[in-house]
Amino acid sequence: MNPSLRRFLTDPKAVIGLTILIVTLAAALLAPVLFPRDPWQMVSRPFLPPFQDARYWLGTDMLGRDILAGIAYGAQMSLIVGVASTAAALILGILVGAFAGYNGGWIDDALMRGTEFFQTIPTFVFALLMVAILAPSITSIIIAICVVSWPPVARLVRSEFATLRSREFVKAARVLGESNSRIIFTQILPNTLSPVIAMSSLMVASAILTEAAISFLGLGDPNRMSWGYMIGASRTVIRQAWWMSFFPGLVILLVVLALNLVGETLNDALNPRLSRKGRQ
Amino acid sequence: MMRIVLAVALRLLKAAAVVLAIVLLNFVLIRLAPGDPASVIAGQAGAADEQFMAQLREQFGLDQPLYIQAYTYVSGILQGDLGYSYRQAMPVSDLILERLPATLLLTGTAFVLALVAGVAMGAAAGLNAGKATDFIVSVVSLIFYATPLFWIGLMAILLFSVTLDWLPAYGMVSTGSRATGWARAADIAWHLVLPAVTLGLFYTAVYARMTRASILEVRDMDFVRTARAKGLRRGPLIRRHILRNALLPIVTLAGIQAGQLVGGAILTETVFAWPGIGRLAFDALVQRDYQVLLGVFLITSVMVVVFNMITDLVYRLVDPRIGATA
Amino acid sequence: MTTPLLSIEDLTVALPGGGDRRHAISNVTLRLNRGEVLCIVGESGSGKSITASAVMGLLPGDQLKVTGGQIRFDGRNLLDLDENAMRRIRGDRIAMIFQEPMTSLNPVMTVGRQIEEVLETHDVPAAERPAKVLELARAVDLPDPEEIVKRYPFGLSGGQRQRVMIAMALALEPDILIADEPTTALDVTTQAQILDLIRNLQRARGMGVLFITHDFGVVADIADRVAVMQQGRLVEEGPIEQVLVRPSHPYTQKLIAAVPRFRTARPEAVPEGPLLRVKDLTKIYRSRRGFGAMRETRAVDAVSFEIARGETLGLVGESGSGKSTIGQCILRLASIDGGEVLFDGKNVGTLQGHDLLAYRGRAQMVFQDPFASLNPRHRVGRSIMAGPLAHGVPRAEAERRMNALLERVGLDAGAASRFPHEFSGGQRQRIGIARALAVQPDLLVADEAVSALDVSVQAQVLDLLREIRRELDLAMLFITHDLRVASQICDRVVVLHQGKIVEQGVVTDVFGHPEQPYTQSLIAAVPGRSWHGDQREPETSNI
Repeated sequence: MNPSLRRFLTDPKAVIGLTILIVTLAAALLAPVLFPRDPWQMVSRPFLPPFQDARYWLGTDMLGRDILAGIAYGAQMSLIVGVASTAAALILGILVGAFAGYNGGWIDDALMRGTEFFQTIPTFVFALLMVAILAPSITSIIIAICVVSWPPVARLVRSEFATLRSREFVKAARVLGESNSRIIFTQILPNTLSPVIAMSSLMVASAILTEAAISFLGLGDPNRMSWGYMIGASRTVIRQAWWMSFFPGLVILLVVLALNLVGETLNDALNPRLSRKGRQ
Repeated sequence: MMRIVLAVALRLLKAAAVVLAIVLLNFVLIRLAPGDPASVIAGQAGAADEQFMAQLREQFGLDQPLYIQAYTYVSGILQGDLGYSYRQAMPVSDLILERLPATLLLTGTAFVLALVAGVAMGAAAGLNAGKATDFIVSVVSLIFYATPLFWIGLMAILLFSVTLDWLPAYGMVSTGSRATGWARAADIAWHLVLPAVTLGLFYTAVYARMTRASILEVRDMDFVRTARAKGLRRGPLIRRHILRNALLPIVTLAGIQAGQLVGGAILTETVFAWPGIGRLAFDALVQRDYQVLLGVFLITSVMVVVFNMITDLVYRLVDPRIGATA
Repeated sequence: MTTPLLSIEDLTVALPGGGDRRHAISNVTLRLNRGEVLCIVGESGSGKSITASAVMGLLPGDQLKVTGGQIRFDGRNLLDLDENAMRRIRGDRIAMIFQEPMTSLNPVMTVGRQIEEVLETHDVPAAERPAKVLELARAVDLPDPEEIVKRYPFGLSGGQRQRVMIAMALALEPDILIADEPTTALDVTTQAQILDLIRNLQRARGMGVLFITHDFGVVADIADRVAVMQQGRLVEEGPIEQVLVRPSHPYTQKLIAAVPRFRTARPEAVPEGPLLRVKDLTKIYRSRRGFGAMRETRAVDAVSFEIARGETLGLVGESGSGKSTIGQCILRLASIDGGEVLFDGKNVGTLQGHDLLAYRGRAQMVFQDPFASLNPRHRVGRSIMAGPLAHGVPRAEAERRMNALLERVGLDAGAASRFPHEFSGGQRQRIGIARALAVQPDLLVADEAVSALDVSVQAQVLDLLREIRRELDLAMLFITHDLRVASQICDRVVVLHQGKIVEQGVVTDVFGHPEQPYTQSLIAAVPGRSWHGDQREPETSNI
């Protein structure tokens, strides 16, 4: 087995993280099987406290909707938004970063000024504004999160490219007559991927947090159950029904924690000597 | 001296360019919205009457070519005209100015709390890497990092206000309070505790991680070995050689991160009914009052730009290398 | 027999588990007398630096642990001391200087303050310190001491920084100075000055110096006694006359035989008709300093030379001489700002598309760093075949060439399916040569191609380059900072200084009878020159 992979899988942090993620994924995929009824539908009496009815053991909300079903369906929203927006941001960030880093000079300057600009503006406010103006939907949320989360990728890829560009094996490839695109894709890019992979796990985590926050403020996709929406909707009744916001929040915490654990261990496993934790 | 003046001037110019770009971005956002920009500006809920819509169309020159519209919009904003909130029946700039001090108080307090606690935690972890302290700090900061801000705010209300009744849950001053002077300040401080701590938690984790990583990096550098070879005591070694070098990059990084505090303020102010621009933004969201939202975005961006500028200049003052190469 | 100043007895340091060696150093026994310079010499991995760090108590404790032996100093075993007692000795009784002057000083503290810190930490009264700092700055010949102590390290050259390090080390007149490769990162003329300084200060103050180096030339210049280490063991120890002239251990003999020396035999006459002609080549680097004002640096300034097939031309000079930039310009890794590079009559600077690709098939490069010059994620075979494949050579033919070349550079065929990290530095350099040769070039540019290698490996790679040049009738441009290496392999040399040619000619003429003062100073600074000059009887007058 690949030593990096072995280092990764034998780390208890990774095992905990992966377990939580697999359970979440299973919940998202199996939600229609486990909870055949619409999560928006009333199934029992409103304000049913948790651990009292075995059929609805996390209780119900003020409209008698099953909290556990909501959490399972909410997992779909979180995972879709998290993965899709991260994938889009990675593509955008890698393209911008690779282009800037490989070319250097004024192209690099111009692209990096733009990247810095997008990093300067308050990202969450900007994401909210975009969702509000584009009309709340899963697509607009994905777009908004992608637009605010690509700059760190671009900066990371750019700095890796700028370093690797002057590395001797890349110069050798140029002297040997390899084409630019070949050098980018076979010589440089594979050597930049380890930190990008580690970063992507953290990006999914922060995308899930952002989606939850957007939904909490009432800008979520009105057709999809979401953890943030569940907390936001029960905010006003928190004195009567703590469980309505407690459980969805706990699930967000666990999933984000899991992604961070996986990201950290990936980082350690892929860059054993040079851990970039906490750096952006 | 000339150099410093030039550096400040250049930095101001850069900041101005960023602000201009943000104003343009605002304009693009309005144009991106589906439907008539006038109705977007007035709010989709349809509360605006025809007369107001017509007035808006004229004000923004919507029958003019795009670049003239952009020019009209930008020059309006640069003259301090952020538009008019039809719903609140007030100019947006007045609305925001009225709410700004509360937000500055909240974010400023949260930033200082987070920076102090985060750097202290990170330093403790980094200097004791691999030991119990490091492990505890890592676990705590990991949890802070992963906790949704709005949720921990609600849980804090549940625990400290509802159950224990230690701290007030809502607002900035006690209802009906007529206190002035120090009594009023104490009342505000009392109300500030929960929101500021809640908002600061995530950034505490961020700064703790940055500090720890930075210390681990500096700890193994050649000049630290030199200092040990000189026979330095542990205290001066850590203070003068490790911390001084490790904390320098934190200044800039903290500045960049601090800008994002304002985004967190929307959530915190919503949860704790704190009467700042975040709360204003939430109300505007609910009512689809885009003029106010755009105004809040612009003002928060300007806050970030100003803040980054300050940290940049501070960095210039504390790092001798910058002054010489710039 | 008098008690030695420092005696290391049976010192053993364990490596962390899982490595191919159990001990970083094992059973090393050495003594250092008052007033003498003891050189520990060895190749990388010999454990020479670890021995030095162990004496200072500066081993990275989480990775290396002393498992046996004693280090006796001043009647005590240093290994028994607690951290606080050891701390008192460091900087006061035993001081140390390091290899990298650029990173060894705290970047955000003035150099004066850093010197003062030594005095402060060892309880010199505050009132006496400023005068003492200035006195030290003067003692190490820092220019303008009053002003320089107020500067931060970034404003100082490498040589000046090393002088600051020495000032800190000498501040309290220690009994022992440990110098760990203190001149390796410096240019040759600076190296000579620093060696002089250390030697003079040592004599004036009667210190014992433990000097770690890989360079026998430096040993010849500075040592009283020599200890040779190999893979963590001491293989030979004795007075300099004995070890350098009549080494008894085969390893020492091998090492000394491999040290490059100035050649006296005049190279064969060079064939007519240049393959590469460089005319008035100029390269300007622009950097923005401050606001608006662009600073221009003429990295290469109107340089002209020619190389014929079957000839090796050396470009020699110190850092900043422009020698590497010339190589980059010739291979179109850097643009050309003035003058021409003509290859087979064609102007290289304006080649585009297909013509450029064709040129790339004829001019190749061997790089300096064997660890950075191969893509860590590509198997060796793939790296070697990349060139031919890029030039449209069929895969079967590329594979045939690769196998033949691997054999030619002395690697087995199995090497093709392995990754670079599985090879040693010397082996990687051989792979780099095979990669360059795979496109069957006519011109080979070797940029510091042996500088990163240990001396024994260096000699083998030089031999290989020499043979290949002859077999393939290549034109070779050999770029190096090391005059001894240049003398070994070049037919003609060009001496560069700050982008300009100082002098050029047949290697034995230029190095044997340099005409220009700069060349003369370079040659005078080459370490161990007296020893090279006469192998049978080293000059002992300066010992």
